[in-house]
Amino acid sequence: MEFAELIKTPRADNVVLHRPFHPAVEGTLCLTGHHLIFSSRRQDNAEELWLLHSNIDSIDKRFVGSLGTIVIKCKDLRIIQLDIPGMEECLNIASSIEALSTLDSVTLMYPFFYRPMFDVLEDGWSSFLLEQEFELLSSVTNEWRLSCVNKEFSVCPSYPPVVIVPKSVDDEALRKVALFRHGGRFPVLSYYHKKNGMAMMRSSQPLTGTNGRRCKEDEKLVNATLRSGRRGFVIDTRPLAVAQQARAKGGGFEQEVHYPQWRRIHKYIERFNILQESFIKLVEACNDQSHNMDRWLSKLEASNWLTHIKELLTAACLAAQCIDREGASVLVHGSEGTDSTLQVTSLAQIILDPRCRTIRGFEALIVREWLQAGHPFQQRCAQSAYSNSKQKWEAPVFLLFLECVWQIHRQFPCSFEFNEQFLILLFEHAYASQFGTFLGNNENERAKLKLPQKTMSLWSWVNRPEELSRFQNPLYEANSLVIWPSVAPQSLQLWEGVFLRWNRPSRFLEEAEEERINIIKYNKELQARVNALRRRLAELEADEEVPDEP
Amino acid sequence: MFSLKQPKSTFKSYLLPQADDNIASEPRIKKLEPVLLPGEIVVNEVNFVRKCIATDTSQYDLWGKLVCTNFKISFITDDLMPLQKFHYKNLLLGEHDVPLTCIEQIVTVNDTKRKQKVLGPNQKLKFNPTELIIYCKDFRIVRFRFDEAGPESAKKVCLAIAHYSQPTDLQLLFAFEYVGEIYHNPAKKVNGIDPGGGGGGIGSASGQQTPLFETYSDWDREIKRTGASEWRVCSVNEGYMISTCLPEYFVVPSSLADQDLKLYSYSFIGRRMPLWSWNHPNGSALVRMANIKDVLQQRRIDQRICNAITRSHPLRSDVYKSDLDKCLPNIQEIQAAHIKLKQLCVNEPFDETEEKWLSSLENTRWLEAFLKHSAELVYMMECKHVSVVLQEEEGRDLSCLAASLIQVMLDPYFRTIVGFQSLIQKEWVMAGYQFLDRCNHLKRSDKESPLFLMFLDCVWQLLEQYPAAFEFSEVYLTILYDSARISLFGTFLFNCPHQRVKESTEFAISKNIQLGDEKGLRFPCVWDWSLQFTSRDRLLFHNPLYIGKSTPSVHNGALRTFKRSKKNYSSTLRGVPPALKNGIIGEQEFLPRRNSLILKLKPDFFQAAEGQSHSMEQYFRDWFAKPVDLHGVILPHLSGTQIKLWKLCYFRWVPEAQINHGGSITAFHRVSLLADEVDMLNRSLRQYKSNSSLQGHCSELDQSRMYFRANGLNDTSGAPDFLSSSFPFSPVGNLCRRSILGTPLSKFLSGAKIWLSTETLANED
Repeated sequence: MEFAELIKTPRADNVVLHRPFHPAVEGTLCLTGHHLIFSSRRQDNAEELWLLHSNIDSIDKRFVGSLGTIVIKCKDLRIIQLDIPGMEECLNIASSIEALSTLDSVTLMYPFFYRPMFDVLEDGWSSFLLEQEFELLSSVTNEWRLSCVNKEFSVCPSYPPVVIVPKSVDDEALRKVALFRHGGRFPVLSYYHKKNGMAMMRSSQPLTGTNGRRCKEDEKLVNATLRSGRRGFVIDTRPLAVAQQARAKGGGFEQEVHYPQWRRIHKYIERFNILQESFIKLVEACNDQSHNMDRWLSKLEASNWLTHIKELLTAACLAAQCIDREGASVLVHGSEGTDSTLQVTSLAQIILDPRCRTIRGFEALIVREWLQAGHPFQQRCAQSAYSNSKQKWEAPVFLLFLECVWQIHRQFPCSFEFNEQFLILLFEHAYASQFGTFLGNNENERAKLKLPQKTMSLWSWVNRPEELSRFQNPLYEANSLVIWPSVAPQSLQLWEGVFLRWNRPSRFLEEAEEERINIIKYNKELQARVNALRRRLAELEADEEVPDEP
Repeated sequence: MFSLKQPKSTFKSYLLPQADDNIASEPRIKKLEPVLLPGEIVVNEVNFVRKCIATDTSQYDLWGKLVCTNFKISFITDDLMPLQKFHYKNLLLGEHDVPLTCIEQIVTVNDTKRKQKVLGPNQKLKFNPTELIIYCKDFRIVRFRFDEAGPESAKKVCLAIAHYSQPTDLQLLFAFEYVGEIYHNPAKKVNGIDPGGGGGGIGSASGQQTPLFETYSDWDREIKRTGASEWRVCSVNEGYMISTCLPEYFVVPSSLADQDLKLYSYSFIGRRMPLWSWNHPNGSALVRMANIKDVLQQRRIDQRICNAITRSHPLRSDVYKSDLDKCLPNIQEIQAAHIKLKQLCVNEPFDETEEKWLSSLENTRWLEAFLKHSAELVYMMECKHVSVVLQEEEGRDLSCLAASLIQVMLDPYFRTIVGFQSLIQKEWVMAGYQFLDRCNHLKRSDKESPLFLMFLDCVWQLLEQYPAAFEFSEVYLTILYDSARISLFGTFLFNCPHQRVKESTEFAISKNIQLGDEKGLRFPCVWDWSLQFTSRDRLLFHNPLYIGKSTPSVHNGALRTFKRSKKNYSSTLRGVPPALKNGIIGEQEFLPRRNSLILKLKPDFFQAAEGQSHSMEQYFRDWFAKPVDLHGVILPHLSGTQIKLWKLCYFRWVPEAQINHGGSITAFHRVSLLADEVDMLNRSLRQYKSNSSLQGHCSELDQSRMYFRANGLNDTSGAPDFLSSSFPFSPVGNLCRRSILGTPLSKFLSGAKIWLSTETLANED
C-alpha cells in the first residue's frame, strides 16, 4: 500500500495551531506517511511541530463557515487544535489523519521506516540478554539454570526463547508443567534476593479446573525454590472468588492439599477495562476547566486512579515483604500472568533491588519483566485515554507501573539514578515511537517481525551519553537498602508530569531543566580541570623533591 | 469535639495486660526525678506506669513514673524508646513530655468496668482508671496504663492533669509562675540564658534581633525601611489610654493629628483606629482598620481617613477597601474545617478513611481563599498603585492573616527568618490577635480558631512553590506552630499587649514583685530560640536552597555564568528533526489553563468595573509568564493540584504515612551538603584572595549555616539512617495507630493476617 493514496491533501497553508499556554501560531501543515508536520513561517521564531500519526488517539472536526477546525488528542495526552481554511482541505486532512493513525499492519508503522541520524554506539537489541543476567546470578548461586526449552516458542508462545528455572527441573518436566499452566506460562525465575537466597517466580494460573487436576512436575518445580523446611507464598492477584470462578473455565489456583508448603494470599489488582475507564476519567478530570479545589478532589477520587496505584503498591510491598522480611520464596500470578503479575514482580524488584533503581538496571528490568516476559504492549497501548472504541484488551497497565515507580521515586528522591523525564519517556514510547522496542506483543512476534534487524531499539538511542545526561537524577546517591514506600493514600500524589503535563506553563520548567543539564555539564568540566590541576601539582611536587635528594 | 466513639472502637484491639507475657522482669524500682524549670512544681505523681508504644502489642511499652507539674505532664523512664533512631531535643521538654497547654482532651478508662470518662476541670472520677489517654493539640495521642500502679495515686494524677490543664484563670498559666520565680531569683536562668530577653536571632550570621514593635523606634525603623515618608509613629495610645487592644505605638498618616485620632477613635469598634502595616516601594500603603460602629459618623470619618491615606501616597492614589468579613470565610468556618482535618488525621481509624481520603479532604481547606484574596490585593498595590485598607469587624483576625500574607508575597525581607518573626510581631502579636482565645489556652473558650496555623500553612504553600525564596525551612514553620502551645512564651499567651501588662502587673503585685519602670512582667520570648534548641539544632531552621541577597553568588567575578542555550532535544513525538521550542505566551489562548490565577478571579468581587479584573488577569498572566524574581514579588499557584497538604505538620505522628529513609528530607539532606560545600568553597576562596600568604585563621571555616554538613569534598557517605518523612519528629509512641513498625509491615501483615496470625513460619522449622 502506498501512503500517498491515503493523503488527499498533503499540504495546507495559513493553518493556525493552538496549544494551551502557547500563543497561536500560523503556518503550513504537511502530511507525510508517518508525520503531521506543522511549520510556522515567522522569521523571528520559526518552529516546527512533528507529530507521529501513531501518537494520535482521536480526532474531531468541526466547521464554522468555511473555516474548519481539527482537534487532535494524542496518546501522550496532549491536545492540539488546528484551524484550516477551506472545507475540502480540512475534510481531506482529517480523513487522512484518521486513516494514517489507525493503520492495521505493524509493518507499516514508523519504526520500519525510521532511519536514525545518530551513530549507534551499542545495539540496544542485544544490550539486555537473559544470558548476562544469568551470569550475574551464577556468581551467587548454582541452584538455577538457563533453559532453552522454548527455543522455538513452541512450549509457551508468550515466553522468550530462554528462561531461568530451578536446576533440579529438566526440560521434559517443564513441557509438562507448561501444559498445566494457562498459556503455557510455567513458573520461571523473576528475581533472586541475594541477601537471603529467596526467589520470586512468576507464572500464569494453574489449570486445575473443576475436578482439581494436579501436576506433580509443577509441584516439584515450585517446591524446588524452597529451602528445606521453609515455606513459600503464592500471591494471587485475583480475589478468591474470581480465582474459584476461574476453575469453571479450566483455570484455578494452587490447592493447599497439593502445595502444602505454600500459602496463598489473594491480593486483588484491577485489570483491563476497569483500569482503562479509570484512566479515561482521570484524564477527563485533569482536562477539566473548573478550578475548584473541592471538585478537583472529588473528581480525582471518583476516577479511582490513586486507589489502583495504592493497591498495586501494596501488592508489590507484600511480595517484597515476604521475600525480605519473612525470608520466604514467592510465586506471583493472576490469570494469564502477563499484566498484574508483571506489575507486582517488577515493582517488588524496585523496592528490593538497588540495581533496578539505576538507569541501566531499570532498562534491564523493563526488558526482562515486561518485554521478554510477554506483556502484550501492542494490544494494551493501541489506544490511550481519548479513545472512543472500547476494546477490551486496552489498558494502561504499563503506565500504572511507571506511575508506581514515580510514586516510590517521589518518596525516595535520592535513591534513583534516573529522573521523572525518563519515566515519561518510557510512557511516550510505549504508546508511539520511532523505535521498534515496544512493537509486538511478545518476543515471538518480535522475532517474526524481525524487529532487531528492521528497526532501531529505543535503548540504542537512550544509552548514548548525550541522551543519558538528560535522564540523570542530580540527587542520586546509591542506596543499597530495601526501600519501603508508604502506601497510605495520604502519601500518594497525582503524577503531574504526565497528567498535567500539557496543562501547565512548561516554558520555565524546560528552561530550568536545561539549566540543570548545563550545570551538571559545567560541573563535569570543572571536575576534570580540578583533576588535571591536581595531577599537575603532584608532578610539580615530585619535581621539587628530586633536587633535595642528594 | 472528640467523640467518644473513636476511642471505644480501638479499645478492643488492645491487648489486655494479662495476656502480656513479654514483660518478664518486675518493673524496676529506681528513683526517677523530673527535670523542672524555675517555678515549676510537681503537683502529683504516680509510679509503675506503663507508657504504651504500640496498640497491637505491649512488648515495647516503657515503664516509668508519670508526673503532673504546673507546666507539663512528664513521663520519666530509663527505658529507651524502641525503634527510634533520632530525637530532636527540645531543651524545655523531655522526650515524653506534653505541655499542659498542648492537651486537647483527657480520657480516663477502666477496662474491667468498661467505663470511660472525658475529664473536665474539677470533675469527679467514680472509678479507678486503668488507663489514661491524652489527646494533644498537635495531633498526638499518648496513652498510659496503670495496671501496676496504685489505683488511688493513678486517679489523683489523672485529676491533677485535668485540673491543671484547664486553668480557670490566665494567671494560672505556667509562664506567670516561671517569670515570678525569675524575678525573685534572677540567678536562675534557663539553659544559661536570660529568659526575659528580647527576640534573639537564631544564630544567623547577622545576629540580628527580631524587632518586637513594642517600642517607638521599631515602628520608626519600619517606616524608614519601607520608605513610608508620609507616615508617622503615633504615641496617643501610650499607657493604653485610648484602646486596650491596640499597641502603644502604631503608625498613622502624617496628616492626621493626634487630636483627630483621639476623636475618631470613639467611632471604631474597640477604639481600633486604622493601623499602618507596610508600604510598597511605589508608595502604596497597606492599612488595617476595624469597622466604624457609629452609623451617623460613618461616612464622614471613613472619608477623612481615606483622604488622609490618599494624602500619604506620593501619587495621591485612591484607597482600595477590602471588606474581609464579606469575602473570606469566617473564623467559625475555619475552626470547623480544622476539626474535620484533625479528625481525618487523628480520630478516624486510618484504614476506614482511606477509600474516601480525597473527598474527605474537601471542605477542610480554606487556604485557597486566603492566598487568592491576598494575591488580588498584591495586584492592587503592585500594579494599580493604590493603597489597600483591610476592613474587618474588629480588625484583629482575618486582617492579621491577610496583612501578613500580602507582605510575605511582596517583601522579600519577610521571607527571612528575622523578617518573618518581625512580621508576626507586627501583624499578630502587636495588632492584638487573640492568641489566648484563638489557641484556647484556658480550654473554655468557644472562640478557638486556627487562624495562625492557617497562616503558617499558607506560608508553607508558598515555600513549597518557591523553595528558594525563603530563608527558613518547613521544620521552622512546624516548630513555630508547636511553640504556640508551650505556655512559657509571652508571645503567644495573650489577647493583646495590654493584657500582658495588666495581668502581669496584677500578678506582680500579688506576688510582691517590684516592677520598677517596667510595664508589666517580661515573659520569655519565643524568638529566643536558644531557650528551646541548641545552636546546632537551630540550624535545621535554615533552608539550604535559600539564596540571600548578600550571599556572593557563583555568578559574580570571574566565574562563568550559564548561558541559556537554545539547543533542542530530540523527542519521540517530534521525530527526527529539531523540534519546536515553546514560544512566548501571548494574549490569545484558546484552551483553559489550570494553574493560573486567571480563571479563578471572580470579577464581581471587585467593586471596580470589569476592566479592572481584565487588567488583573493580564497582570497575573504576565507575572506567571516571566521567570520568578525570588527577591521580588511571589504569587501563589492556586489550582487544586497545586495546593498541597502540609504533611510534616499534620502527618508527622502517623506511622502509616511515614516513609523511612525517604521523603523530601533526603533531598533536603543532599541539597544541604551541596550548599555547605559551596559555602565552604566560597569561604576558602575569599580567604585565599584576601590573604594569599595563607596564614590561616580557620575559624570562619567552622561556621556553617547547614544542619547537615559536608565532610569535605567528594563526600560520598550516604544519608543518615534516621531520616524519615517525619524527621525531625518521630511517630513512635503516638498511639492513634495500630502498630509501631511503620507502614509497610503493619499494612501487609494485616493483608495477610488470615493465616499469619494462626501459624508462623518459624514454628514449622
